[in-house]
Amino acid sequence: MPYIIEMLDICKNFGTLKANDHVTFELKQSEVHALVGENGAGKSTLMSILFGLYAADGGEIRYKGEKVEIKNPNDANRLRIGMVHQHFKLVDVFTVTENIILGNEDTKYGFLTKKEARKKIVALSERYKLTVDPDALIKDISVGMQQRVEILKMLYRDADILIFDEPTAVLTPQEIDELMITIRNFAKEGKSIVIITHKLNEVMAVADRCTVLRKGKCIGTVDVKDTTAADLAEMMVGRKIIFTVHKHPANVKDEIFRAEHVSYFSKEKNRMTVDDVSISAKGGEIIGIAGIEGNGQTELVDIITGLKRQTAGRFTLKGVDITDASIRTKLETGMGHIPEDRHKHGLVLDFNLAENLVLENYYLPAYQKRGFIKFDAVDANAENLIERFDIRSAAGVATVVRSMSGGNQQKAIISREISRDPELLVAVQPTRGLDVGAIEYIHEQLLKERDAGKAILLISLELDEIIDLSDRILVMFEGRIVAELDPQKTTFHEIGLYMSGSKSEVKTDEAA
Amino acid sequence: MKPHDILKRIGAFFKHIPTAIRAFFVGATFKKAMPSLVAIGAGLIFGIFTMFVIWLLVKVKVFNVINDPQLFRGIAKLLAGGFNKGMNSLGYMLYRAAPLILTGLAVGFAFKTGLFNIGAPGQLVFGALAAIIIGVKLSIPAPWHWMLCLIGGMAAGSLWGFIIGFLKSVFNVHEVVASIMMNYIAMYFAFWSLDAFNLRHRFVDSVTGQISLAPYTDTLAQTAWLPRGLADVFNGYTVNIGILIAIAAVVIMYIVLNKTTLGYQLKAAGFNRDASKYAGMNTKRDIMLSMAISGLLAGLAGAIIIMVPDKKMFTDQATMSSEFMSIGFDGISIALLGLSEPIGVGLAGLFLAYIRIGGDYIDQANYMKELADVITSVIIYFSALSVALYQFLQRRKKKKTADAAVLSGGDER
Repeated sequence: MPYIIEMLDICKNFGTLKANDHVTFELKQSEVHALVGENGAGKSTLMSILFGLYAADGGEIRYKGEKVEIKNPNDANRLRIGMVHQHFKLVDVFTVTENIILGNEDTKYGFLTKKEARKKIVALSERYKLTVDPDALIKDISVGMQQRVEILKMLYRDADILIFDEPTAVLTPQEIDELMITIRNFAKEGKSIVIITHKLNEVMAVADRCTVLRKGKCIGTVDVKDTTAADLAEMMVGRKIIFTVHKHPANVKDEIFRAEHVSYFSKEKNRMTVDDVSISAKGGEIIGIAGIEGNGQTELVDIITGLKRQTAGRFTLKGVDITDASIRTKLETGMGHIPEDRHKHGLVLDFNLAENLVLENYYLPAYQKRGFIKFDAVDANAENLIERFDIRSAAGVATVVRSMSGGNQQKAIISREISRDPELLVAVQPTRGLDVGAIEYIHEQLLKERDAGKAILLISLELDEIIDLSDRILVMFEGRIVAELDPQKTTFHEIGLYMSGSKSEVKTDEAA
Repeated sequence: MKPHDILKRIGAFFKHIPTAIRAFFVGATFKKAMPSLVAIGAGLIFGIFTMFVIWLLVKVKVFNVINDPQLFRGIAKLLAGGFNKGMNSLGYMLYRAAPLILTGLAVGFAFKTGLFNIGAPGQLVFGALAAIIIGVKLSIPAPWHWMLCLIGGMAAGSLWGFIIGFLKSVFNVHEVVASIMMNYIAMYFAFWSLDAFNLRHRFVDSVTGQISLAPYTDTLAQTAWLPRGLADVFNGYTVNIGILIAIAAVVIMYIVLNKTTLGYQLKAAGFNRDASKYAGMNTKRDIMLSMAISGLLAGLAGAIIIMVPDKKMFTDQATMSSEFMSIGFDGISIALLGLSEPIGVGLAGLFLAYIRIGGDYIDQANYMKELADVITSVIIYFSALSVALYQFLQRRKKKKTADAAVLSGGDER
């Protein structure tokens, strides 16, 4: 079978970082080719070069054997290359049709001819079973449908080479299954597909061949039918990794935190984004809150931690009513918060590491005397945490946090929150965007806190993480808790049904 | 501590100075100050070039003037700045620098805490007004009278700043919009109160023999003038303790920003308001506090301007703008040039006064003194540009990191 795309000896540097280091990637006609690697391995960079978003520093690209220059996405379109980005590039207030034709509009006497386009879109959507409502606004449709819009956008432009960047990150297990079938259909029709992912089960399920990148280098390309997930993982990480988290059975103690019938009305979205939620968290357990992005998890965290004020309901922490307490009072009562967005909330990027590590405690007598900061104590605290949590930075306590790697920034936040010794730790996406080593480490820390008798609320979009760590799983859908599940007994499939709202328990009301 | 030890300490301190100076020129401070120094250089070069062009045009008879400009004398006068007449002009420079430094500190401090206080002119007018009321209406013995005037000026400016902070934190009114409005309100309020509190100067009309109201206020009671002990040192009339107050303010603001929990917390809010809220800081209170402190400094500047012999506040808009409000606006330029750092602001304020005095002297070489304003304007443009350029470079750097983050799954923002 001839290669439709050959990327030979591609190099790309960002400053001193070698994002792609002599990478060779070959795509056959009508195959599904998985591109796997850890975060930071250079997968997205490589495909961005193919799609014309970056110019390579070295190497060449061949299309059907001929050398081509792809300087921008328009060149890529001309070669019938399409890409679905991890973060969708859609205009919220445009309809599905308008988004699909955007940048490729047909006009008559200078006016848009949307009818023709709409017909073509409906035809495509029927042909590939990609159900969309062509007249709905993007902001009103689900993430899954938004992704289908992105796929239709490629098909509308007659793309033959389809690139999917982490397509399953935002989908429920059921939607993932559907997407896999769609992808296989594309391949059957003669289209060539590249799927960027770090989930190996998806590779095994859908791909014909698989190329593994590690730290910018190409480790190898293998036929999927001749390999196993474990082999791929070893290629990815460079060492054998253990997939299961070692966990002692939970030693559940007294109730630490309780939320009673809390709700939050979002003015922007004009609806209840948290709707009558009750949670009771006991010492020594991790409660995982699962759900598709945008089903109220963020708002729930915001009202628990005090970043937003709840519309109704009550919170109690260690028996103290903290319903109307300020953020500082909540922190002092015994709450810790690992925020979802470490750059927006977790850190002051222009402060140095030592200053960041006392962000919540700077006013305590340990760090100040009559309003003057005790810099010795602040630095000593930082040195202690750097040592204890193995935070790596260029200039120790004086490192400006902006210059640190994402993993170490996250470690800094986690060290700060854990060292404050909170009774309730609210951890939101604690491993987002981190590599396997850092993830393992952070999981260990969370389990250690659990075993020390703390209550932990773990909010994550990664189902693996939820199932591995949690002692109980609550599933959120459209602002409500629709199920409480036992991770030992449940399956991906079952959680997925609740996450997508296709199944719903009678509402649990455990706090009552 | 024994005297011997103290001497040893002082000796050690001086031994550090050469190292400190060297460290400054190779170190981060110098690198940080680079854009400002480049801007100053560019402004001076532009000014000298303009002088040259004027000189050339006169030489080739494009312009006809009565007195030919003297190019080299003019340049020398301009660059000599505050040294033109030795200690006397130096004293005058310090006198003019004091309010500039204070308004620069006011704007710079607000910048550091994430707020753009464009309302320094209004706060300054309000401070001056309070000082006039106290200085004209009350009669108390000397040290207490001028001290009370200063305190009144600070309190009034502080109140005016606080209102802006209050509007922002409670009603979410953007501070720039509120500041501009408050500037107008302060000016018209001042005009109104000059009448309302009978502050206007009364005199007997020589023609009609009736008592009339002058379009300006009475001067402050002598007990309310700032002490002019420095005048002997500088062999001049104008210089007063204003410059000492400004220097003290620089030191205090430096300490507040860098050594205290208050500074830590306000700076955190300045860099990242979301993170300061997350960490349990009271961001609403911090905004009001920042604006109140900023207003306090501007109000102090206003009081210092008015607390000198024969100084009056006029009841027309033009004089109000040129004598009071413009100094508040200068604060923005100075904060920009001084990179909002207290010490940088102090130096920038001195520099601005220096070059303006140079401008005063160039008419001796038959150039117009407004040339100094041209030069300062060019400097401000360049320093604003250099900040923009710097930010542009930062953003490119950041974009590069963001690009690098794309390859780590695109999740790192």
